[in-house]
Amino acid sequence: MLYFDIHVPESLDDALKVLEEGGGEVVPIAGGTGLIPRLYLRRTRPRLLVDISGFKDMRYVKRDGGYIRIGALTTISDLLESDVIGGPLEAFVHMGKMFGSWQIRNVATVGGNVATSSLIEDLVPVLEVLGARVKLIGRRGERVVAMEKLYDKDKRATSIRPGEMISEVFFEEKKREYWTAFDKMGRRSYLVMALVNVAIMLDMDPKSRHVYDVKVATNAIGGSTPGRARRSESELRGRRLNDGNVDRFLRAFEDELSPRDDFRASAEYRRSIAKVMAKRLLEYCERRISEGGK
Amino acid sequence: MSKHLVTLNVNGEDHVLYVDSNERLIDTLRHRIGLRSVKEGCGTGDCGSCTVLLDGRPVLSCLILTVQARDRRITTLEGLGKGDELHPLQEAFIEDHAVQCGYCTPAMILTAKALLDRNPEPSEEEIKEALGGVLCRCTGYYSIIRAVRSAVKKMHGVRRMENER
Ligand SMILES: Cc1cc2nc3c(=O)[nH]c(=O)nc-3n(C[C@H](O)[C@H](O)[C@H](O)COP(=O)(O)OP(=O)(O)OC[C@H]3O[C@@H](n4cnc5c(N)ncnc54)[C@H](O)[C@@H]3O)c2cc1C
Ligand code: FES
Ligand code: FES
Repeated sequence: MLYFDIHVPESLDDALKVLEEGGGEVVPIAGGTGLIPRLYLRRTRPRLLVDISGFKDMRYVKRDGGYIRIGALTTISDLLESDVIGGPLEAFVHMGKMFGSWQIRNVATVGGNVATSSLIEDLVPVLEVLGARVKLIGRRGERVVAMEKLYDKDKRATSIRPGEMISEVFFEEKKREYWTAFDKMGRRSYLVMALVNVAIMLDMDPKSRHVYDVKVATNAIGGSTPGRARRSESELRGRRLNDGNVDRFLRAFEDELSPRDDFRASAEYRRSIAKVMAKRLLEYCERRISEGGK
Repeated sequence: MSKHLVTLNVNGEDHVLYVDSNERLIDTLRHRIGLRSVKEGCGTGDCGSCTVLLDGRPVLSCLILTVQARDRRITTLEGLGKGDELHPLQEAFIEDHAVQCGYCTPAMILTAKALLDRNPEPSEEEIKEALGGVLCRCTGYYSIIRAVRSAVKKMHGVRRMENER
């Protein structure tokens, strides 16, 4: 293991001060499930870690004035156990149950997942289809960044500046009927890194089947693929959900992806399973909306 | 490297120690407190053999810095029985031959205990789901699942007796 110091802050102010003074050499540590393996493998060499895991007031999932707010230190287990995360927000449940193992879910945090940009994070596409925004805090104040603006996927970096940390992610709660779903494909069914993950949000009138909005995002697929597949979305948004339109949506989706080819899976394989996953997720959301969420 | 004074409550007893910044919880538990039931397999979060309970929840002690576990309640297998009296899960693991080399056993039993504390009558699927993060290279898992199920029966017996009293 590398040599580094860890600072146990007395207050949030103290944490932000130490983060700012250290520039890029000082990083926060929350659950450590992302950071510690990277320290062992010497992929990262910070001089100082700031232990933010003690900030209990950044651990919440709540409804607040039309928004759902999730504190950065909320764990994946907290998400699964929360009353707020049910019904149409089912994508979080799908994602949480497939996330690492129970041991990992008990410590891995939302902030840690969002702050990582290794192109495999499972929470990221779920937040992207919900149009989530990220609140960043620093000594000089706070700013809000849309999920999609947070990542520079080619460079595997985030736009979080030295001295800043995530305090929460939040998104607007929809008023119409909608549903979300997530799926992940790996080389086995448990404790696995995604070869492809896909999240979908469908906002549709259950009677006329008019699609008010649809969002689809992938993460693990790699290449320079953006999180959202916007061109594909526009094939369905504002139209009726019928076989022809779904087909056009899926063909556009397949085209829009630029999957990577690596030792885990070929680009062709990734492309074809992503399409099948998107089809099933869309059907699932449609069914849940038609059944009135039952 | 800076040292930190931390208090850990391990199996009901407070330990006050100076630890290095980069000391992992598994090393503190094994080498400083002498709790050898905590096993290291991979050291990267994949095998689960280093599982301990932190405030009652299973976590991987190879991925937690001791400083981060300050002021928390930690349970290892040594904290399960009472003196010579074994926990029903320990008895069931022996009776159902759920132990071969034994390397995964402490992690299996602790994870199963955390499951039963939350869900006293889990289905087979729920048992598999909960134990999925601990690898066993010997038993093929069936005897382990059987042992957890017989522990459930034993514990229900105990609970019923307590209620009748
Ligand atoms: C065995 C194993 C299985 C895993 N399985 C999955 C999986 O199925 N899906 C998945 O998506 N991931 C998985 N991961 C990766 C990891 O668990 C997640 O990314 C997790 O959410 C990271 O959260 P953490 O709190 O542990 O982060 P940490 O390790 O504490 O931090 C990770 C990074 O984020 C930064 N950071 C943490 N919190 C903040 C904050 N509030 N503001 C700014 N920066 C911050 C840290 O500086 C660090 O760079 C797995 C990891 C392991 C070891
Ligand atoms: S040693 Fe901790 S998970 Fe393998
Ligand atoms: S009994 Fe040998 S690893 Fe499980």
